[in-house]
Amino acid sequence: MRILIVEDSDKIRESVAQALREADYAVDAVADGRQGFIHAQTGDYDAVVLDLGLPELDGLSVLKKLRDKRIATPVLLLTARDAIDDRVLGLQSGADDYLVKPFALDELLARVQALIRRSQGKSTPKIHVGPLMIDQVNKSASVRGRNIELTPREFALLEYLAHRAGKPVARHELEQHLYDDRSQVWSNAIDSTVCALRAKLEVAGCPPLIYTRRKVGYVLQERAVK
Amino acid sequence: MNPLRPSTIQARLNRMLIGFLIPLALLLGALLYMFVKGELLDRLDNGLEIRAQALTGMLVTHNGKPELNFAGETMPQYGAGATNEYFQVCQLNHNQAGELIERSDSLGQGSLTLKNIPLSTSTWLTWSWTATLPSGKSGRYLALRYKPSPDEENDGEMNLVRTDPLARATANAPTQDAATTFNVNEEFVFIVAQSSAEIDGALALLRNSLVVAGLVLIAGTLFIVRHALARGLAPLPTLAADIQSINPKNLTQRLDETSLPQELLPIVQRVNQLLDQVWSAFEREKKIAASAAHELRTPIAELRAVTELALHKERQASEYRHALQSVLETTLRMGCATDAVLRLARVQSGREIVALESVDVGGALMPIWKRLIEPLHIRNIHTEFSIERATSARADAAMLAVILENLCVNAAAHTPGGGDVRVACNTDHERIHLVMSNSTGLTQNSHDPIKNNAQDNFRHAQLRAQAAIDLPTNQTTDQGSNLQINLHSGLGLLIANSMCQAIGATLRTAQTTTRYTVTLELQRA
Repeated sequence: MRILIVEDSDKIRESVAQALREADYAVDAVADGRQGFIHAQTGDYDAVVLDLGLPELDGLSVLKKLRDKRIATPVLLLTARDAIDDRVLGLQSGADDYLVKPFALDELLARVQALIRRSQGKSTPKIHVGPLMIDQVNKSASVRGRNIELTPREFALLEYLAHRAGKPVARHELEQHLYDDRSQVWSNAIDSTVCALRAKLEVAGCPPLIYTRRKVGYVLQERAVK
Repeated sequence: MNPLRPSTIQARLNRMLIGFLIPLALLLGALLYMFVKGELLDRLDNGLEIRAQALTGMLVTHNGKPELNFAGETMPQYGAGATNEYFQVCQLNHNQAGELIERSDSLGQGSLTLKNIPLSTSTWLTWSWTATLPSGKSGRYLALRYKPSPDEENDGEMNLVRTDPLARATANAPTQDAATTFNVNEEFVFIVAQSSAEIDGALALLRNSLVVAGLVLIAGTLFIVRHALARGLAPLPTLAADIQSINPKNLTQRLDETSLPQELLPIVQRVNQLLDQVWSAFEREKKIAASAAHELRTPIAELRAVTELALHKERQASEYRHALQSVLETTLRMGCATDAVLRLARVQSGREIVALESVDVGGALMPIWKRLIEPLHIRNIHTEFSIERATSARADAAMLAVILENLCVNAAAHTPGGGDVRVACNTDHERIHLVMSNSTGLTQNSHDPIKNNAQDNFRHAQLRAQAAIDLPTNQTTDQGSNLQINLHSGLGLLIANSMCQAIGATLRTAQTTTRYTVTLELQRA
């Protein structure tokens, strides 16, 4: 999953970005509202962590402009203002959640996870596709109760496909959501990761779940549809 | 009256009215009464004098003895049984005792007592007094002392000629009557008396009328004043109720200035002005509290984020060191901000006096500007810096540094990429003008949707013009800065504003569509 952080405080921005990366998210971080709007508008993020007090373009304006452009990316607002009116205004402007500074990093991580989960229509952190169970909280996968050792990148890819189970996902979309701007993506990185995933699932006794759609991408589903 | 409870306007006015009106009414009534009484008595006396003078015309000598040729039937008022009018004629002897010559029948066997015979060298003299008549009624007496004048043409025998008192103005031509001759030393006193019952009745009526009129006047005045006062003071209870209803929760309420008496209008207007000031102060206090909380939460959030990240898992020593360094920076910054706020609070409360000294403005500005140049250029912001020589201002060096830091940081933070920031410093005879202006990024004909976002920048500029406390700002890195007061613009601007006031400087803002300008005016050293 790829997260955009828009926060003008260097320390908060860097700390949150590192915490999200350590939680296996791909993270882009910018320091002003103008850059934040450009990134959010042009990028395909799974969630945006948006500070309200931003230079050049304040967070509320960024949010309103994104919603005006029908960009439905989940947004978590960060602010030092905890007044009810401010919270209401933020939520009514299109935010999906609101976190008051100072906040616990764990809470921010949990809220981001919940945002992404809800945006995918999932009400629980556990995704079941056939015998495969993906636990988003523990970042683990299992087949019929038997854990599968996955790398962070493999889990992220599997999780992304599981969120869109039954729908083909293009390769470039996977690249966008699994790698941030800092990462140098090899051209066959996705293919390699998919190949490794298939192998591990097979070893775990899982029937084939990841299918290739020619010129489209990959799809995670219980059986292939011809 | 309860001494602890202030008296009412009405009570004071009533006391004043009673205190002045009653004595005034009494005085006027007494004067009127005495005037009328005097006039009436004068008229009565005039009538009595005429009668006395008429009696003198009736005085003749018969066989060498004075007699009064009185025709009683022509003056029935003096007849027997009459009780209102009397007369008596006496001849004075050398020791001023009177020898009765004639008296009116109304006197019967009684007599009129002569009073207060004045010494006189005049031909005649009248005096009057009030006394009880023989009938027992109150009466008015008039005595006419009459000394017949000698006939100067008859030298041998002194033929005293009765001088007609009515013609005394022409005494040089006395009328001579050969049958009437008197001794040159004879004097006569004619006493006439008349009942003053009519006058007394009139005076009594006048007196009673005056009393009644006075009471009516006083009562009426009190009544009218009370009601007039009540009507005049009617707006006051309403006004008091309106003022009492104003509390910190509805400070926007104002007193109604329409339909007020002219006397109350200045008071109400002034109260409304005071309420405006109080409301502004309350709003400022609320904003200050909100801004302080807001601004202080950010560094606390930084501390928490850095610390929690460091503790999230086992890390390298260098990572811990980096985290601790970051915590230290934030802590120092908070300390500087706290010091600035505390100092400002001390200055504003009078516990600390600001010592103004000569401060080189350019010297204070240059290091701040140098730190901002590189971040601005990275954002492709063009900069212009122009300072005249001899720019020394009277200021507190530490406060001026805080002010300049905040203004520069805000100017840099609110300039969109690709814009420009200009700093100029010029002087006149008394003041130093430090002008910082930045482009807003807004143009008249911009179609760039990104540039149109500068509308928000302009909105920010408008808010800054109000020394707003809600504006965000970029927290520029200040590594190596001794100040480390990179407050977010809300609290920073507030502190800068307050410090300007403390050092006698003024901060003005101006805005156009394309530029936002802040001018700091300092006293020249």
